[in-house]
Amino acid sequence: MSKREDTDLKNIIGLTTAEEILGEREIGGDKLVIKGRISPDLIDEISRRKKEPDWMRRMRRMYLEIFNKLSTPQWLEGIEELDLDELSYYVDPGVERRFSWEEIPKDIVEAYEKLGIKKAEAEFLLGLNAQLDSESILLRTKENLLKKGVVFLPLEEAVHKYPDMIREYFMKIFPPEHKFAALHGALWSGGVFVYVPPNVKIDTPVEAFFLIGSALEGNFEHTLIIADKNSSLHFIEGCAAPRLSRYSFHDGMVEIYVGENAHVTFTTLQNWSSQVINFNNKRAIVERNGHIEWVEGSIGSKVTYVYPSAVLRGDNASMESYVITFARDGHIKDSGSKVIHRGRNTRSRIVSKSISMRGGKTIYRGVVRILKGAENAKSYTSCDTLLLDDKSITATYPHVQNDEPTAIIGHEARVSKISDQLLFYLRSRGLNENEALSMIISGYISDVLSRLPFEQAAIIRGAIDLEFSKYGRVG
Amino acid sequence: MFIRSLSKNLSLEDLRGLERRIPYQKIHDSPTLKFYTNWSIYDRYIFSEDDLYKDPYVKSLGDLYERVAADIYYLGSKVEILSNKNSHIDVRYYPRKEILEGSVREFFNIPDLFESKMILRHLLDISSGLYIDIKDSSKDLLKIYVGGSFKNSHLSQHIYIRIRDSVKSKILFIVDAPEDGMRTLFNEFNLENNAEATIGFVMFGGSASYNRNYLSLDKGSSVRFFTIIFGGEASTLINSYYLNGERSSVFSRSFTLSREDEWIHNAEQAFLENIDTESRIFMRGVAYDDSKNIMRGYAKQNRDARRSKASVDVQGINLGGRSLLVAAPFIEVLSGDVDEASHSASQYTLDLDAEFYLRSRGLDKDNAIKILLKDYVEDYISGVDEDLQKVFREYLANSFIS
Repeated sequence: MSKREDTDLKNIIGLTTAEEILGEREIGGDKLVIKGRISPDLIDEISRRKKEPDWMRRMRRMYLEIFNKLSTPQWLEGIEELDLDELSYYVDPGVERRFSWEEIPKDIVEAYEKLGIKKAEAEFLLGLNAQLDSESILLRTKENLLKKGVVFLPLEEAVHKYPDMIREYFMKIFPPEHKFAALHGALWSGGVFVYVPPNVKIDTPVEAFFLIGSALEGNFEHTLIIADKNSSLHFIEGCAAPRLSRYSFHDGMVEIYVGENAHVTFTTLQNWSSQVINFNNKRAIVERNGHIEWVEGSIGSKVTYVYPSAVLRGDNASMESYVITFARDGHIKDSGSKVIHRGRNTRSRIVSKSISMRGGKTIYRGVVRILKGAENAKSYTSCDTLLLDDKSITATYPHVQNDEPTAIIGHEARVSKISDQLLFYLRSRGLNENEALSMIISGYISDVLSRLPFEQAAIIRGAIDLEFSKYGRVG
Repeated sequence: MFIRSLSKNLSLEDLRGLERRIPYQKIHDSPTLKFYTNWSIYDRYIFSEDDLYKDPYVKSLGDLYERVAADIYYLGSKVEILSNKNSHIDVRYYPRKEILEGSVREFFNIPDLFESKMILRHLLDISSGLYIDIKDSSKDLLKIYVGGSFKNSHLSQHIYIRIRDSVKSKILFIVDAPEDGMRTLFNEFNLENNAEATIGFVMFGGSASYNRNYLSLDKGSSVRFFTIIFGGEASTLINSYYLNGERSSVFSRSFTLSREDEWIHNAEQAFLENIDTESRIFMRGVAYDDSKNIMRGYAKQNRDARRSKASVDVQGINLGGRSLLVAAPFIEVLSGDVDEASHSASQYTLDLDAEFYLRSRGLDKDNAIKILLKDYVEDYISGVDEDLQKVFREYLANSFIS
């Protein structure tokens, strides 16, 4: 075995996952849970607890019917232990929603402090919705946000305050087209509603942060964003969980409506613990001259299936998607991006960077679909994977389907190992092997890292550097 | 009975029952395109034992021998060996009954009989088969013409080709279009250690055809496989390369052309099973009018495929008003120690300004497109084996793009 192979990668590459920060302690105290077989009664009970209007209860029931009719996709892997009958579908953390950190129990605040959320909220966010289990526990909004007329609310509250808008958009951008989307529609709880009025530009981000506090939870938060004409918004989604005794299941949904000339950036830092099975349904509809940018850093979870997608409905609409994925210790990360070009002169660009290590499996699964009439559409996809050892595996399943003769589509992908030559060069310049590895990986993901807000980029960079710091930080 | 050993002790009747239940296509990963081809067309043609004793329908049989000038004519359930220049080969013919009884045990060395209903249909409806043993190297091109069809029925033809140790051979298949019938042609190639094969495969669509080539490559063997597919109502060609031996390699280059309401489904898939194996898949396609052209490239580098190299490159031009082109270059890497794994896909349009110019000079749209496609076709042809280039050029010259 060469010296390089002899190096224990486990001691070299380690990521700062939230579970390492939060440890094994469950978050929150006495909780009220709704569990049992998924049935109309269970749906009604969730709806009753939330004091929902009857239309929402009926909608939930309709999605339950669809869920029961649809079959489970056969190609999913790594979800063998998922038993829907043993999950809690609604977990009330027993903490009323507050508007300041001081009003929240100290042990919970401590968790958010450890994760850097409290500091981030104070220093660079315009708004924060912190959710524990199934309910929002803290809502912080700065005056600047409210002055501009932006609505930033937990979705439950928006159901009462803005019923027309919710009825128009909720599960219309991502209809229940597969079993787990339908399940989400039936059981959704928590999440955020954001409305940005016409001509309002929000340069400072707002964030929703989701914490799963205990094992065997089903987490179904829903984020709905409407960016009206000529507006802009940067939304950050963060998620984390402590190390759990058993699995938990996250089946979230993000729906974004990007109006004419509007611009939305949606950044996710997925940092679930390695017991979480993570499904996330994300889709945007983009109108004329609108732009959606998905940025995703996928660090945690046992299994992840997520494909940020967009329907480019209006002429000149565009999508960019940048994804960094880490899979390690036998975890499966099935991700990618999907785009449907419908308007003329629409543009899309998908960049995916995956790293498989210690037996991890990364899968890129993407769709580029150009519909008839999407004249002069252009799409470019690049998906690269770095394999750090011979136990790790990867696969790419791009699907390019074109009905439009004037479209131009490009796709390229590469799977690579860390080159011995490059490593040798860096070592000859005075770096030790770990520093060299860290530098190569940082360079590999730099395209996407540069798209992240500084704080998020720092988390991912810190992740790579964590173990390297024992030997000397790079950069 | 042979079929029992093939199918884990299932009888013919059991298999018939299974065949009805197995889908034509198991979709795992195609969220937008439901079916790779129009499978309902294949349902029209039901096998009848009586057809085996009839003369097959062969288009313009009179001038066929002159037109194609092949060494082996495999028409319907009959075979004729016209040329004796290929003394280095042995050809044996097997009728349906003998195949089902297991007279040739090499037949149906297929990894998954239950992958698609079409595989079972081919096996259960088998009309006849050829066993070709290539014993010595030869520079001459071995031409095999496959044709014929049974009206409203299913003609199932099967060829097993053994290429012995260190033998170098060149083979050209000309697979004619079935008319008013369905034809399935399965070719199984076994390349023994250090064998080298250059294979050309020219396929004409017709009413319904489902063709598969299975190539098993032993240590040090290599194959260069060149394909052209011309249209068809429902034309499927799936080439599967199993790189079992170390240092075995495949270089595949395919070109598909569809127009009017034709539907082509072409898949090129390589399974790299051993150390130092190499696979290069290169697919090109043109879709015109209302046609559909589905191109799927796939390379799987399994756990033992250390230091292996694989690339999949799928590229197409969509010319039609309502034509559809799908490019799906898939790759799976199960070994962390591969030297190369890459894929690319692109689809683009012709230079519209150039087209406008040509049309303004008096050319009609079809002719303008032909001129603009010339480089694209030449790019494909120039990578084809020299002996095959001439044949391919002739066929392309008669197609709508030349």
